[in-house]
Amino acid sequence: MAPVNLPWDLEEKILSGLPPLCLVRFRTVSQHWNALLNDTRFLNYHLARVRPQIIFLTESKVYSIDIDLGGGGVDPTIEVREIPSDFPYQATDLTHTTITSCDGLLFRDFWKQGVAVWNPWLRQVGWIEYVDKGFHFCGVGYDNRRPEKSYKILGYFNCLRTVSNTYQVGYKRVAVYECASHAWKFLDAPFKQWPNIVPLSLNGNLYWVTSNPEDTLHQYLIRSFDFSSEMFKTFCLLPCRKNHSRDEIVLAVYKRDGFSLLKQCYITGEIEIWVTKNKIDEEEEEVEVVWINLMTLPTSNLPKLINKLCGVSYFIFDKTLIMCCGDEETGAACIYIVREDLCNKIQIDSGVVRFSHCVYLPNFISVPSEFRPLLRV
Amino acid sequence: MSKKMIVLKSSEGVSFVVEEAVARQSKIISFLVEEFPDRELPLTNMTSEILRKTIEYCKKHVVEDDGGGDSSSSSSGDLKEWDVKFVAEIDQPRLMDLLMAANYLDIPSLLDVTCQKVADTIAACNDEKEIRATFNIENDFTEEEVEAIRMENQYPI
Repeated sequence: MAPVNLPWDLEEKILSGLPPLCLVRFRTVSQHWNALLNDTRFLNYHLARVRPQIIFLTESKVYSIDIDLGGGGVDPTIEVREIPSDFPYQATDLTHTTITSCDGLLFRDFWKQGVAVWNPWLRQVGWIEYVDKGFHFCGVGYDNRRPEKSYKILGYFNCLRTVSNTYQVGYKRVAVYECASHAWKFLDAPFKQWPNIVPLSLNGNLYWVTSNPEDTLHQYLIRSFDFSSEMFKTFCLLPCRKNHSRDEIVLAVYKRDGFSLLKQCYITGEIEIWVTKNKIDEEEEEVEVVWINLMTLPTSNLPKLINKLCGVSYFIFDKTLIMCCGDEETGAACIYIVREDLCNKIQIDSGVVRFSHCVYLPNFISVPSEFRPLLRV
Repeated sequence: MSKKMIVLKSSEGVSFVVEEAVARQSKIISFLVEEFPDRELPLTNMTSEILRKTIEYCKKHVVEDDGGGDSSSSSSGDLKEWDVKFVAEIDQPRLMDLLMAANYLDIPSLLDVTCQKVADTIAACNDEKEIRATFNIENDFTEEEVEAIRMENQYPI
């Protein structure tokens, strides 16, 4: 072989194109390759190029699913890799656990116990035990106006209000939990237009699709919770209308700093994908959000997404829809890979019908020290 | 109207006559053409073989302005497939030379394609020894250090 001496910037450019597993496996090539896994600049560069994966929980195990889109005549494939998951808590039931990601870190809520914070690629797990076990987890974010990320959890408590000596009414009290200080803060905000699935975390804030019950036109909109001002807001209206109450609408992150919106028409089964034109920047308020209709997918072979017991997660990559949900008839977990000329359905080996899942970016970001004690799983 | 041509000269002194629009995909050549019009441009660190390959890539990727607005000569899907074939046909040492040429001439798309091909080659290697041999990388670890990293790294492999 001819001797090659690549400048470091080129070497780093090449290595940023490696799948995360290779970066870990080949740390032992040289000191420089090893040092890259602690180099924030390189890790951000890698994060910008890496393909999302799907974290997939069954009753007892955790997997990360990597989807290779194939191309050039090669069919798409999936790789389902089991990851060690020795959590301090036990999920009594999958319906009592929630998985979500915030800037690459995974947060798994165990109802009435606590939250595990976890990066499987570094084998790090930290956790927060709820002081008050009645806390209901909603989503994770941080104050994006501060230079360091201090994670906070939005949730609520079920409370009772005494109306008279003999009569009490239940209500939900919104609260924010500060992970670093382990302190609760109750918010004086009404419990309405609350997300019915785990909201998306983007730039430290939470976003979800909902509707205004007082709006007679039944327009759907994106609500947000801003962790810096600790306020709920209406972020924008949706670019498409729900024509039928059973149309399915799912929000996702697009290219790291934008949104994508999947809408399936209940009647025809057609799926429309919309994406935001510009990146979402909370500091520029009052800027109108511009949506682009990225693609409309043919109806044949597409599953109906309504009433999916275990939910739907998806991401858009290279003009392709990659979606995880249960099979139409059996409910078995499947990955769908769909674009104009292609609709592949791959069943996840075990054929489980009860599972929990979310999209995340494989990365090498350390679990912050506020989530102590750190365990290696 | 005939197209404007420029001359590029390889390290062996071989001249290549290229349409200016083709060569201008290199930001360096684009700059040189404006600074030194009507001059032969010597590329002393590029062999004829690598220069020929680079020109082949640029010819394929040139965006032709035929008066009716920009229109690429191929659709983006076709181009992608062509790129994959293009780098697949090149052996490892020449791929590295081509990558360096893309870097030197500042042709971002060619640099991306060659870098990704090298990354794919690395990903296909069985172990670190194979990578070191392929890319002539010196092992600057002690056995103990390697062992320590392996211990830390049992997962996810």
